[in-house]
Amino acid sequence: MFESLVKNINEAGGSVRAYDACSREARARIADEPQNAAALLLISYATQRFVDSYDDQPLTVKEAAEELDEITQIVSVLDAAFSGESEKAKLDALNQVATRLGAS
Amino acid sequence: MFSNTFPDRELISETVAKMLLEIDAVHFRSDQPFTFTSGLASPVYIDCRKLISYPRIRSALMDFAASVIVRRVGFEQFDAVAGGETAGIPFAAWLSDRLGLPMLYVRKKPKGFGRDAQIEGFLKDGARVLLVEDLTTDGGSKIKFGDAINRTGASVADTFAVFYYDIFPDTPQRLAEAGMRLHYLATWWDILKVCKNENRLPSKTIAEVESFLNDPVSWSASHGGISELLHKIPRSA
Repeated sequence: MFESLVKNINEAGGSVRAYDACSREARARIADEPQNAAALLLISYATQRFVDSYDDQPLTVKEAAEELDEITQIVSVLDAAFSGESEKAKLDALNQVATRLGAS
Repeated sequence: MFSNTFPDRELISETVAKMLLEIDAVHFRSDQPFTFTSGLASPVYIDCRKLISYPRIRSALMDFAASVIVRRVGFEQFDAVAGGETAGIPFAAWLSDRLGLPMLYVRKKPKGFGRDAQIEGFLKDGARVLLVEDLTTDGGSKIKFGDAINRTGASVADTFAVFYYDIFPDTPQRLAEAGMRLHYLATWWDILKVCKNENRLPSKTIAEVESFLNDPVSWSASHGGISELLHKIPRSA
């Protein structure tokens, strides 16, 4: 459901441009998937935050891998919940991810 | 205005390379490589933003820049100088002062609405603009900033950067296809030459850097970065 969004980031070596493309794609999907809008918006926010932090700034390959792991985990949480039928699970996942993003 | 002297181009490049090394703007790290915006892993990174804190160096740099530009393009070929957000802005300000031209800057993203939503400052229709950034890697940001300026009815045929990576063979062609000529003061090859001549680095580091500069994509692939350069730069983004 959402994992294709981070697949491209992974294939592009965790590049800033790939995060930017992911952010724009997630936002673009909202219109066609209103039932997933909140999750897509969080993914767009998380990836855009990476772009804002690292555009034109150096980061090491190690840091890039850690950032990629973080976004992969976020997307996995959302993907697992939104692939199911439980509205409570979806809400819990949204809150879990929002809390995670708010804390970092 | 600039000093109206025209130093030898090779001397300019060597001096700029020494300046960048003197202020520790050049970083070498092959055991923990850097990741570029493109996803390319690299053992070298240059921080041209540091230059703004060194008034004597930046003043000389801007004299060099004015010299290179008027010699290669002409004295009366521009109506304005535009800096690309963020690092290009101070250099555009100093260079516009040297060249006696109006200055403006281009945002990475539009703010507000209208055809000049990415532009701050006054830009008249048909203006010939010199686009300025601190450095050029693969030319992607210049193409985007140039597009933003061209959409206003002005035009960018020339772009200047203090530092040009000169490691991606297709960069000049990509910029040419976007209607831009690139002007710069120094490249990684100039840095490498100074480091070699002055024994500034261990031979192992020199070899590693040279290996990257000669084949950046292969070096990247074997150090955790991308193995293929993707130029998916949306022209209107």
